[in-house]
Amino acid sequence: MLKKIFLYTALLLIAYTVVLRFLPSDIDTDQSQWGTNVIKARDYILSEEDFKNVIVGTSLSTRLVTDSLGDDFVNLSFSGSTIWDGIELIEAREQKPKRVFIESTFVFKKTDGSLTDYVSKGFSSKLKSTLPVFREKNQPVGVIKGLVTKALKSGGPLASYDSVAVEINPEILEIQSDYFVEEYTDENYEWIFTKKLIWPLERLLDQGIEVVFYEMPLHPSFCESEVIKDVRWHIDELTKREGVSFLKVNNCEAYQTNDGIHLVSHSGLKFTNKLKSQL
Amino acid sequence: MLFTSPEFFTLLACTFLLYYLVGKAQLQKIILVISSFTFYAWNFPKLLALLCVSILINILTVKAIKQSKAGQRYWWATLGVVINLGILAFFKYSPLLGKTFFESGSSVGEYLMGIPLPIGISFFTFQGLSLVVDTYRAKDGDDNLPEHTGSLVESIALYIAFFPQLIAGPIVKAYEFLPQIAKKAFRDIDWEYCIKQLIVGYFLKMVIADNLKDHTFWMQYPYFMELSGLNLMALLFGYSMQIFADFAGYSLIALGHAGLFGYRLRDNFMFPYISASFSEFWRRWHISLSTFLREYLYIPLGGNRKGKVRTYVNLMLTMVLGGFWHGAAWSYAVWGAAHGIALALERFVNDALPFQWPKGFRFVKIIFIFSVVTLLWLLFRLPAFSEVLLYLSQIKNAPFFKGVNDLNTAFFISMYALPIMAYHGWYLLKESGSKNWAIKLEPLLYACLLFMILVNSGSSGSFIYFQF
Repeated sequence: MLKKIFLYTALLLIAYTVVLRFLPSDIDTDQSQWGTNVIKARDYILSEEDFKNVIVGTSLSTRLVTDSLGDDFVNLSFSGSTIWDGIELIEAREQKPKRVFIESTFVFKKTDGSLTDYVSKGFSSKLKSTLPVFREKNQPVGVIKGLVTKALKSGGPLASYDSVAVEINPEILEIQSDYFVEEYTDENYEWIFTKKLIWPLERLLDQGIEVVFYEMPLHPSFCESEVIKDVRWHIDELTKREGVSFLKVNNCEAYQTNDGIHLVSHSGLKFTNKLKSQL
Repeated sequence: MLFTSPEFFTLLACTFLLYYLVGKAQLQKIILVISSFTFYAWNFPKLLALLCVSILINILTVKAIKQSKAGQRYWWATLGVVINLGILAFFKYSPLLGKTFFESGSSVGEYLMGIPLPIGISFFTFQGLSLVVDTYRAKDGDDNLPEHTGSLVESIALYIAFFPQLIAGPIVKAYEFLPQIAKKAFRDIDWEYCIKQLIVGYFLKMVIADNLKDHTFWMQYPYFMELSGLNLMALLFGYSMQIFADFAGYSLIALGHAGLFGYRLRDNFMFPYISASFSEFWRRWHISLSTFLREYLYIPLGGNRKGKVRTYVNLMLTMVLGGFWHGAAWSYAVWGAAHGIALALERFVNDALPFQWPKGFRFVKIIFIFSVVTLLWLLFRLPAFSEVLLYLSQIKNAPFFKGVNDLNTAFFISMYALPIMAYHGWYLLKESGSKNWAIKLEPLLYACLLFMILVNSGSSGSFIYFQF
């Protein structure tokens, strides 16, 4: 019985490896927020493509329509995560980009570095880099979903979730406001702007990589919060000192969010176009 | 330490090797106890002290019961029960008492709310209770405990701390476990049994529960306020599947690991979602807890031997306390009370009915029981009762369909629920007499589960029952 179980399992793995070779490469196999992050991060680490421009951000920047920026752009923004994950991924990959765009809005969010470790260290990541059958991107349930979605899309575009809902729930706005009402101490600012952000920034600049900081639009009440204004001032000082660009947002009311911080799809496209015009 | 972590597999491999290399019963016990302490202390070493104190109290109580005369045995046993319950009450229910009965900001309230909840405390204190009561009940010294003090200490430490079931059960009764303590040989391992339990257990945990948890995450307040009616119902159904997969998965993994060391633990789940009555559900769900409550609470309270009204009261009391056992929040008591009312009502209706339910009606009853049980899981998922009511009102008031994300969620929940339904269906198939055909397909089925563990596991997460 046990021999049969292990033999059949090996056969299933071989058969699935063959099936994967015949699958269309453009199917979307994402299943969840964590899965999406891992697939994106692993793709970046393992890809042989020459990405000239890398966007590094939080979930806010996932609303950018990266395709419209050009083929040589890759968006390393992760939902539920921070800019530090994207920066760590750039450091973990041998091939470096020419330009890195760093979102400056949520610099105080912390990371445990688990995403980069997960996709670049340990036995599991080595196995996944060697054998594609074990990668999150190729999980059978995700693949089935990707094939079904592709078949449905061929019959016309599907309605986007947030193209309908634009009224923000006050309780959700309240939760999001936590970040903007927290009082960060001078030590917090000093740690971020003289150490935490400086180390990777100087490493990137030393390698001849151009760095651009940018802000993402927020709900107007958050845009004018003390935290955002203080961070903007510090980034301004930093970018002047280091001689790098900083793209600010001064018209938040022109954009719409679905929860106070994440742009709805049409605003995401609008802001991407604005960003593109400034490059 | 998680059953799915690399550290655990390292500990398991080292323990397994040493265990069978030493070949002596006493050394084997010591190795298992040391491994179990390492397992428990891995993330919070300080909590090991509490486990040791609990073991020590039970050793002293058992020793006192064994050495006392008939009249004194009762008082020692009572003291043992009170101390075990006291430890549980202090660590588990102090924060609830602090929150309920003291004003916020008061020093006593703050102190009570600051008491940490040691992982697995509900499980190991219940095993302590079982040990004390079983020793007291044993006739003519037939308590399965060694007379020699050193051996007694090792046996009790192993019984309470045995790592496969230490932090999330199954709750093992003393009279089931203690007779099994003996020298174990490598050649006696039932590999087929162990590997089958481990494959199904890890499949339920890593493929089903860990994937579903990333979707049911959005059942939290206030995120669920943004969801459509379809999404809310799909998530509730998904949570019902997740909690089964998570806990049944843990129990099967525990059975498999215990088997590797020569110990047989009793099944904790018996396909609960095919139950056609609440009493059947409780014979199939968390069997070790329901039998514990029946043997050590319901029957001592009088069970069904003291008239109808008293039976209903006993049922209610047992279920409310069973609910409270799960967690220090009033919603758990409400959950237990709801099950108690359902059990009492069911008994009342069955007694009053002048006819038997027709056989073909079973399927409708299964759907009904599953729906009520699933609805009540909301009390597990949402800590505040007001949030539960809000969730239910949102199912009614939110637009039924909002967009393509609804279909995504429904798709994933259906995909991950399908194996659970097939798992229950498989049992029905085997029960219906299609045994030979089903047995022939078994190797392929287990291979499919192992394949899915290897290629479709979700992100690692804690077991839901760790919090209890």
